[in-house]
Amino acid sequence: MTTPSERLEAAAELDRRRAASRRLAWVLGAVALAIYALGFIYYRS
Amino acid sequence: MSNVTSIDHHGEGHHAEHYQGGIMRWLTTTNHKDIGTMYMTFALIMFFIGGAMILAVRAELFQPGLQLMQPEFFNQLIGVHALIMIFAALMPAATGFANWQIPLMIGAPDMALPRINNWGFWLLPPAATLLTLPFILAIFGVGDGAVATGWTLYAPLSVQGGMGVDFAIFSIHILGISSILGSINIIVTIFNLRAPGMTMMKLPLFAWGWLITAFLLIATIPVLAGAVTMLLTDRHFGTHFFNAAGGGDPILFQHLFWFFGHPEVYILLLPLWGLMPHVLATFSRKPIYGYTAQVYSFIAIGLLSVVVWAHHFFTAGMPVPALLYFMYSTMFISLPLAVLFFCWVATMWRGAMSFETPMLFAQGFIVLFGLAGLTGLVLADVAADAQYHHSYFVVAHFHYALFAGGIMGVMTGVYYWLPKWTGHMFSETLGKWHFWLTVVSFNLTFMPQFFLGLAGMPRRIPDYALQFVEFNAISTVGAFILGFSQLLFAINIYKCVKGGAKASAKVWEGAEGLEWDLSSPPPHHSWETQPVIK
Repeated sequence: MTTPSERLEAAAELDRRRAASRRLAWVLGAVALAIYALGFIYYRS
Repeated sequence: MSNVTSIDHHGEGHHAEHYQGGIMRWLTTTNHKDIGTMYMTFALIMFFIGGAMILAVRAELFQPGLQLMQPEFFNQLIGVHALIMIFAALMPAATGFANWQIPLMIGAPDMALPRINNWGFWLLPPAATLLTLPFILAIFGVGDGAVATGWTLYAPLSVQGGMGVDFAIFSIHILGISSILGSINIIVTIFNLRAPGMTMMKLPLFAWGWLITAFLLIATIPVLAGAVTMLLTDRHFGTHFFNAAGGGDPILFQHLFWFFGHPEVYILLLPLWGLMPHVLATFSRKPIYGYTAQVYSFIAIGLLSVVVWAHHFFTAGMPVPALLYFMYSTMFISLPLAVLFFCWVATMWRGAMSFETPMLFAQGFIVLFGLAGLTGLVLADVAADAQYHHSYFVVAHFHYALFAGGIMGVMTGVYYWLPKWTGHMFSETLGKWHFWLTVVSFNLTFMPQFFLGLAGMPRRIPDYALQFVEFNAISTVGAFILGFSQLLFAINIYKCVKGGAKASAKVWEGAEGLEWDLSSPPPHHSWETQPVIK
């Protein structure tokens, strides 16, 4: 069994990891959008 | 692998009573298990809809001549069948597995982005509706039916096609957004929410297979989306990307489509290749053989899959060096794939094997998917492909890949994890009947199609010459047995969800992994305190 303080610490760690996940998600989403736009930029030039 | 030093179930399930009841639970849920269940249910429903469409096609092909439908409707059925089976059945099933299993297997409390997870699923029903709606509209005299270009949407046919093409383009965009949201979620979950101590080289192979799949989706779905957007602007906004008369190039569409389309095959199969070692190890009561080799094979297959696309249109014409490059690079993929096959067989070698339903499906998968690989090598040969291209040989080949490799892989996973999900054992008797009927009728359906292709029968035709009669009749009989035997699958799942013998936490004697440390079914909120891996 874990103590209450250990559980609080685990929850805080989980929050940090979720925040890192959101940042990485934005980067991956931007990559997908960039690939989508690439063809149009190429054909306009 | 699952050397857990501390498991704390304290508090698990204490939120279970807080979620809403009825339809609102499913509309608003952010729980990975609920969303996984919705993906799997949706995939099963669409599997039967797509299957019904192709049974109508096979009924038409039972005899030569036009029996039941006009060629236009025939074309619509085969195109929508493929789109549904790929985008609305196989891909959602794989995403359903990911949602249910990845958090359980890596010791995460949920997916990292639960709301996006919910959104990713709920984009699917409207997209599937858009694919099939033109059939309904045509009944009321609106439009000329669904997309009739086949799933490949080749220009210029798709530039000139009816309203169904616009519906398909819109649907593909929505399906693509859903896939990308799901992929992002899976990548960030695997990277950031693994249990402490679970290094990447301790990650379950199922998660590895999905990780490579997710990167492939992010790299290739935008290319497909770009291609169909260009198609849309060609159709309605005066551009000429694919119109030769306006300076465009219809072959460009084939390049863009297959840059997505070939990795799509691996997108459909990699999660199942990741699942297979778990099942084989469980029922052989041995550790997975060649974990590292399999991980590197997944990576190699992922990388190679994006550089071989033009083997799908050798006959469109391209310079000889390009033909040679695409031929050899395609054949090269068989090397990492052979490593996987070797590892699967080596995992079973001298194991204490038993043949419960999931293991039977895994055996069927290995043998029949092996045939897909071998016939794929034939098609990869430029000289041979000139004869087999656009013939029933290709149809048989990719059904060995996507039914035996894809659908039977999904069935392996469903039978393997269903007791964990529901808390009940399914009927082994029904499962075994389902397996044997599926394997026999599958071969009855598709083996004759190899011979039809070798004899020169082209695909996508509602009528054919008299020399193809016998094999077509056999294929149709097989297809109907195959189709109706899938009802056993649905019945078995339904009965298992409703009740049955209680499943223990470790459902299968030889199973290893974190998910088997949780109860069956797992608590609504699992791994709220993450386990620590040695």
